[in-house]
Amino acid sequence: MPELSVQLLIFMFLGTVVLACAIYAVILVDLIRAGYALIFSLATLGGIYIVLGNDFLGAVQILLYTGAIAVLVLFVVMLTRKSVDGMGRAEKKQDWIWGGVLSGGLFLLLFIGINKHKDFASGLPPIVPQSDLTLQAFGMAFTEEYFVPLQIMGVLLTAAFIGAALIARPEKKGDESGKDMGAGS
Amino acid sequence: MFFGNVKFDSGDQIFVWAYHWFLSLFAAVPWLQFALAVLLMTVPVLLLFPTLMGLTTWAERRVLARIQNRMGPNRVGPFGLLQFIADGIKMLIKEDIIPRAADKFLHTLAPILIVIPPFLVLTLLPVGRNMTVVVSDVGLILFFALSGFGTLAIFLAGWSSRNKFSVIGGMRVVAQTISYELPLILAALSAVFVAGSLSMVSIVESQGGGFLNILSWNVWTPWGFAGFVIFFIAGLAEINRCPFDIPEAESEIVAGHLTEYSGFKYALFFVAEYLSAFAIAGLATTLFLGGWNGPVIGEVQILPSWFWFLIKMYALVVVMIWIRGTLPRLRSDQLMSLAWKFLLPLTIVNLIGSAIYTLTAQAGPWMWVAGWLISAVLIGTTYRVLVQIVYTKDAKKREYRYA
Repeated sequence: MPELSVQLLIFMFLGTVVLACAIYAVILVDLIRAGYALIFSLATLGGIYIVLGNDFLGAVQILLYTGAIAVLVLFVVMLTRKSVDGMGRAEKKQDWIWGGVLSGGLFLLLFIGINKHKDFASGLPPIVPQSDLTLQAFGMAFTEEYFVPLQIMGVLLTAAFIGAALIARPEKKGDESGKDMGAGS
Repeated sequence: MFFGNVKFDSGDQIFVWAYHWFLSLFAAVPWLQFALAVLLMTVPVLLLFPTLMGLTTWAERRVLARIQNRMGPNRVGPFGLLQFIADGIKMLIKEDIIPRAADKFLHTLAPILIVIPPFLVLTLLPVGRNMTVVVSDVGLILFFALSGFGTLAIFLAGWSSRNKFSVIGGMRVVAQTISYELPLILAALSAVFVAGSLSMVSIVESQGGGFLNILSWNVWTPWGFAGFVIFFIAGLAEINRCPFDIPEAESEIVAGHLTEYSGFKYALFFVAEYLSAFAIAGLATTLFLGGWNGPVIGEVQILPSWFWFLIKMYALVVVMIWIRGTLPRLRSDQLMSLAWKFLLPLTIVNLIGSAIYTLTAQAGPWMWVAGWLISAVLIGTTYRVLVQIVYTKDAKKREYRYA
């Protein structure tokens, strides 16, 4: 049993919020509410990273999930017809079984992986960031060890961007009528 | 955050000194000391900025009134200074209306959520020397990450109201903030290049020194000046202020996401808006205007560091008010084309310019002059070419088919 500290209390509080929001996101019928619960769950996870002493990972988690993915989720939800009518989603028994198998397997995988690191199970790391977790170490790792994967990922994302722009392009080039109204109308 | 023997020095460290002196009284009780430290860090943020906000609403109304050749509020207290208290009381006792069709829980949650991120973000700003509430290695990323929450809250407000104007307003907010986040962050990145750090304190410290402690500010370099202007414009769009207040455009969509709100919930949206304005102005000060660095003659600092920060921040807020009184609102497509066709290419070139400047500045004074000129020519040419391409080529007489 680790010593009861302010850090542990905050960790427990944030952990409860993460779990509560995640459960809320799964069982809710209203899609917008479920989407927001999912976003809060993911963003609070960033708070846990910060409590554990890794500011960078926490900030990036919050930036990505509330800035980019949240908006994507909300737009997708808004474009589905059912969310407008306030209807539930279609649920089948098979979905529950498959979902259960998948999440159970993932949980088992994580459980085994985390348990391998015995030092993690012994308690929370100190609040002061570890020396090997600084921003500089991240930068060095990205420009030396993981340079090629980073570049490949960049090329992949650029290709995805160009593809998205190509798909979103209007069909006819000479069409003047819709031009003045622009995106907002 | 203890800085050893802090000296009492011409008011510069007066708050730091008082903080450590007060906490040293409770050295015998560690948990009480910790609790008091937390309170002493947070309560000033919770007091200072809302008070400033109240005074700014008065200043905004007075300045706008003068610009429009009116008097403005001048009845409550001297020069109408207490107007914001009267307004606050009015807002508190007004009826709180929730539309029958609205999602009641989310409708109430949205105004609560929206005031949280500006307060969190304000704690990251270095208000004075040794006066940062949250000192973080990655302060800048945290700033942008946390301020992203505001968009979600506004969208939530728009969605939960069950009103088409509200939903349109919410959609506009999301589209606008996503578009302007790119130039905002890229412009801020140029200051990070030169300081070599994402920590706000390091960025401010990198701008110290030079003639009178002024000429090392980033704004006096070509990339810094361009970055400052781009950052300020993108920041205005980020906090939905004029001329980018398209999400709540009265003439088009009633009041956007605010349409169905009344009473104090309505006021909370304005609290969040003003606090975000302070946060963006404070960040612009930190990144480009030298933060807490102020004129020093010999060894004497003329005014305390926190005072310089507040002066610069407030000057930027006044410029925002001035812009509101001067410029008309943009159209939605003008807003998008400004962000994607004009500001984004310019910030990327600005980033290259700041990289050239940083490389040459390390290589000696003559190389520094060369780098200064090269980045100035690069950014200036890009600006000229972009104006030519985006705004001059297609310029023709417009015909309005919709009144």
